[in-house]
Amino acid sequence: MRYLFKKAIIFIITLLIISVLTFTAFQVIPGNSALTALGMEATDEAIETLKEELGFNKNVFIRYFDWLKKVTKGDFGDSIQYHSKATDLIKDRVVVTLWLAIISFILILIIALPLGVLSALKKNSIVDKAILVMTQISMAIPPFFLGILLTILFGFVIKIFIPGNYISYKEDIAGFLYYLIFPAMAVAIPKISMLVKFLRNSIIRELKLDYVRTARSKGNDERTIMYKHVLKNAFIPIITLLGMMLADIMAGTILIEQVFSLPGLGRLLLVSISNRDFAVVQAIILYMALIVVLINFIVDILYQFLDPRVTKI
Amino acid sequence: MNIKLLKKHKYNIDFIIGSVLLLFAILIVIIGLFYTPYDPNVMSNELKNISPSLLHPFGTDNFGRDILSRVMKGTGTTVIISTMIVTIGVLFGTLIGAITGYYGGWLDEVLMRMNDALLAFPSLLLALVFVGIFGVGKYNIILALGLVFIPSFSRIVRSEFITYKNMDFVNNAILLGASDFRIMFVHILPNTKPMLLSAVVVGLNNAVLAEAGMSFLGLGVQPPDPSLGRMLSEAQSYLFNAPWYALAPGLMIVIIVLGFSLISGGRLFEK
Repeated sequence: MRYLFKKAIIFIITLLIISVLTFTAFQVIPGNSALTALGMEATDEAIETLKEELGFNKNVFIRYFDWLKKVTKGDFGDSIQYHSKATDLIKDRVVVTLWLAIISFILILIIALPLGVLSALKKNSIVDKAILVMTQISMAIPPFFLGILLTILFGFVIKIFIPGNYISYKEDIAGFLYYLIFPAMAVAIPKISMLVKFLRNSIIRELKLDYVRTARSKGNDERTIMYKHVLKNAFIPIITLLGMMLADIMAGTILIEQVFSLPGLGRLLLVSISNRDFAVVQAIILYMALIVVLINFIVDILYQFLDPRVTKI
Repeated sequence: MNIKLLKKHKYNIDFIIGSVLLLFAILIVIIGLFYTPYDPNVMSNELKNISPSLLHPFGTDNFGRDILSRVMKGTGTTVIISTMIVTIGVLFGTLIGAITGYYGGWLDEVLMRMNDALLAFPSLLLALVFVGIFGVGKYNIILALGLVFIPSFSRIVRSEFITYKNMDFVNNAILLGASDFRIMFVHILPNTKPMLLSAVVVGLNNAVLAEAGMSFLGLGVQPPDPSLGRMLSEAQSYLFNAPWYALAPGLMIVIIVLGFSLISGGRLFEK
């Protein structure tokens, strides 16, 4: 219980730090989008009235709490490029990004787990070495180049994928998910390599421990030892890695959305950065940060159930 | 020191392959400084999207520019930018790590909490926040990514300083009346070299990927300056007409990244 309490406190503090940083970055630093919207020739009075309206003349702390109050209600202000609420813009795009992340995550799990186990079981064999070489190389391929290679492979050589023919989830959910499989592959492949390598080393480390020797001396066969004892323990450190990966996947989608022209959060973020549309930028950053921190929090709690030892430290 | 490092890795196949790949990349960069087969920025209407041939080994792009020449120049840009990014990260990271590790106290607590919060964040997202604030461009990217790289270095240096600060040679130096500055940077810092060096290699690896990613997104190096990431994003618009365009810049990035990751102890065939 104390562990849970401590983690919850850290979770809240991290959220506060992020909110302060975002506020400082986008509200205090000059070059505010609302002021740029007025243009270069704006009169001093116009700037003054706008400043008064936006509350720029108030104390920084009061401004922070005003801002926080609005943000928790989901009000990030209006986008200057789309002339609509930042939250409305995000709501539409987040579906694409979340689905892309989910499909990538599923791909990672179903491909990496068996490969990692296989690699550890057949340690130092040809299969193991082939897997290791593949993982080493695929980790060196930048995800956007991988996306281009996959487009060429599946789009022009095998022809089971039409590049750029994105189907909205509102029109055809099956077509939407089918289109997402290919970008998801580009997100997943480097992560698969990472997980395979990690899982292999984790299993090999476990196999050297005393309880494995005990299990062997009791006459258990290798299969039972592997599946009933070793894997259970080898998977525990994987949970933390998976948590970190989920955060990375969220960021990785930004690049991949650009390659496959998917209308997700990442593309909106890039367009908004180029147009210096700060309302949207800070909304997306806060949103993604919230997801990342939340994932870490959930992983910490999960960890406690899987490995109760952590609470004793 | 370098000789020793080489001797240690003499029979390590990873290290050899990694070095060969990196030497190849460095050679390309150096040649690219003095000579390219064609002017990398000259456009031509007749030579648009020509497939690879003897005259243009990797073809030409949508403006009729020779891709090989552009890759040679672009590799240089990528390598220089990545080195500058890592330099910013190492300099400030070492400074922050040394001070927090050596003195400890509340400053250490505050800075390390912030460090942890920043490290928990995906680096790409963090870089985008900084780019969002600073704006787009070559120098802004160096600054933004440099800032992103500081926390990981400061963390490593800090833990090294904590290990060394209570050792006898440091106590000895204190007794001899050495100043804090001297102890930190003349006595302790040289000991962190092995750790710092491997962190730099990993950092360079990440910096190349990050710079290419940023330029790919159109936030880094601006046209007409050639850059590997930028070329890939142009290649992507002409995939159907010129599928070869992506090959050379993409492979170049893979070569550099693979080189760094093999050297930094990928240990492909560990016993």
